[in-house]
Amino acid sequence: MNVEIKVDATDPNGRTFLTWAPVKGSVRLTNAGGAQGPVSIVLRNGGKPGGGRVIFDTQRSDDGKPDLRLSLPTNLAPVEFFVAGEFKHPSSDYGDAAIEAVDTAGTALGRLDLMVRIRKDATTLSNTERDRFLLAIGKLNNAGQGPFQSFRDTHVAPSRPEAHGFPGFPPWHRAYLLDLERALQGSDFRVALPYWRFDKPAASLFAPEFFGMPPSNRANGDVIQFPHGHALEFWKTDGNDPIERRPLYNIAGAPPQTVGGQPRVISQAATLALGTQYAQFRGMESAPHGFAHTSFQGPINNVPTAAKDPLFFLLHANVDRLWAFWQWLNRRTDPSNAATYSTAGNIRPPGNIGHKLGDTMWPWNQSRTPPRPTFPPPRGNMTASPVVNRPGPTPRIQDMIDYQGIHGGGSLGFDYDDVPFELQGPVA
Amino acid sequence: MNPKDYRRQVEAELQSSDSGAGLQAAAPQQSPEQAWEQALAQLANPSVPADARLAALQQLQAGTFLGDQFAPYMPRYLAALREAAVDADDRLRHAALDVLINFKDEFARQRLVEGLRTSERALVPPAAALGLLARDDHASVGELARDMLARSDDAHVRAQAVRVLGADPQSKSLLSDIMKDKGEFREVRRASAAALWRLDPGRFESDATDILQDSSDYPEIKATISGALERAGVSPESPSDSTRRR
Repeated sequence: MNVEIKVDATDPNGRTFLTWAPVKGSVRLTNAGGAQGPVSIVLRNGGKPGGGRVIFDTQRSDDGKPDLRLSLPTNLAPVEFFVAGEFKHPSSDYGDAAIEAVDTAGTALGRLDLMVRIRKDATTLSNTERDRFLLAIGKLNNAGQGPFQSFRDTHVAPSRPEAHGFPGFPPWHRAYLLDLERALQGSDFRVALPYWRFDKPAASLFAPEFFGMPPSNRANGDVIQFPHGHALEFWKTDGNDPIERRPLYNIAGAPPQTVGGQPRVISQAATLALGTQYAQFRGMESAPHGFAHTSFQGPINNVPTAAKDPLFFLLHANVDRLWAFWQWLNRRTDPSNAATYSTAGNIRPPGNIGHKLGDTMWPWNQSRTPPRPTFPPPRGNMTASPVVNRPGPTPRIQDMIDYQGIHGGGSLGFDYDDVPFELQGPVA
Repeated sequence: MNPKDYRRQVEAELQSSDSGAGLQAAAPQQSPEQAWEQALAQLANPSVPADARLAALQQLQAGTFLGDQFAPYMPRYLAALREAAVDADDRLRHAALDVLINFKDEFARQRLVEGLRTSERALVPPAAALGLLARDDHASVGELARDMLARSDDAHVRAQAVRVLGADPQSKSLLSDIMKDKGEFREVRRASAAALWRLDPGRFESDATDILQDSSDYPEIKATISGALERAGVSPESPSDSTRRR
């Protein structure tokens, strides 16, 4: 007797990727083995010790369990279930998590290897995960000749009003990160974008084998010194520029939370305490976000040049994680709720274009009509995922808000290691 | 972990941190505009300690991330940065020049070029000046970079000069020679390899083959070259195969 297990979040190559958000699966007998009536089976974790773990339910819920008993008909018809990554148990490699089907005696009937692919704190990555990420982004850059330049060209002065200083700051950057992460996954499907938890010490992130440091004497310039053979050793943007960055704080610790009583790179708790309304929370664009950028000399401290430095994307992954954490904590995932998203405050002329819920975002909408940038968009449509179908080629602001699909429609295909999936009411 | 249990845990942690110093930071004592006014006054005042002026610079630079809200302060910020760029404190000079060069500021560019031509006018040491100029102005400092390369034995200055020349098509032969020169500093050879890869990938691959087949060359340089070829999808074992590039 054997069973076949299928899960929706599976790419054309048969690889399955889960986040914390449940997805539909099905299991069926492929031969009944002479059984006269329905066959009782159990779905359970089949992953490696210390690997990713999964949870199950018969409905889409936030209360899955490590085991699920199902009864399979002998006519070989499939039975549906829901499966998700178990919060706090992400994978570190493909196949370290699995769904295993066993009979009531514990005999294995089938299995599906998979990955619980989750964005993690960069300081917690294994060396293998770190090097996998570095190689993927190094290839994306390809000594300045790869697609990374198009990402760098997206975060520039003419696009500043689309991305900065207005309500769309968090959703625009969420889309930007997603586009990059999907490009990285095109190179290595095991990669999830790590984040720089800038309110915590992160010395290992700035170690030579990761993002490196400039010469100790500033008289010698600010170009990062990588070990020979490092994946970012030949990093280039704008034709010829390597990575330049000099920290303005002691990297054994975190950047200062306050200076002269004024907020700087404030803690996660302080960021969450900005307020429960979106209009309050988005004050985080100044502190901690702006001050995280200006914790360094180098291109990263300036909007039009910041994306030249790959640290930018880890910094912004943390900004996005803070938004995700705030959304979860305050149950702010329903786009129609003004507390979740609001254009109150600064108005971008004319009419806040690019910041209203239904507005598409540049460059993915390919617009060249003012007030959007008028030069050819450096990126095409949003990179499609082989696993999920959101947000589509021309994402809107509202598509970025409910990133886990809590209110239905599926997830965007990413999650953070410390932000769980929790339902907030009836599911659409 | 069940999300409900996690929520209780997080809420308890946040409650316990309510009385901590961290949350005080969430409530700024000034509006951004007030903070920027104060920072402008500090940055422009030479009698204020350098640490406070550096902090003011960071405050103002963070303001630039807010776009339109900060725009009215930009002219005064730029003026203060140009003053700070010639200040007596070397950290403040370096920080101000770093920001100004990112802004493509002509005053900063000219002062850096002058400093390379006349050391008495130098605002920062030559390697740092070349590094800053190379961010946005490779072509006009090519001649200066070649000159620095000819007369400096400092590894950092040479590496920065090579980096500048990475945008100069006339420098391919020079970069090729440096890349293959076993007597050159390894950091400079690495910089020349990166520069040549950008200027002439075919020549880089040819030189890379020579280096990889030279049993007396250094393993660090071979690691650098092999890594570059691997990321580009070029097989170091058969670099003459014209179909090798993916």
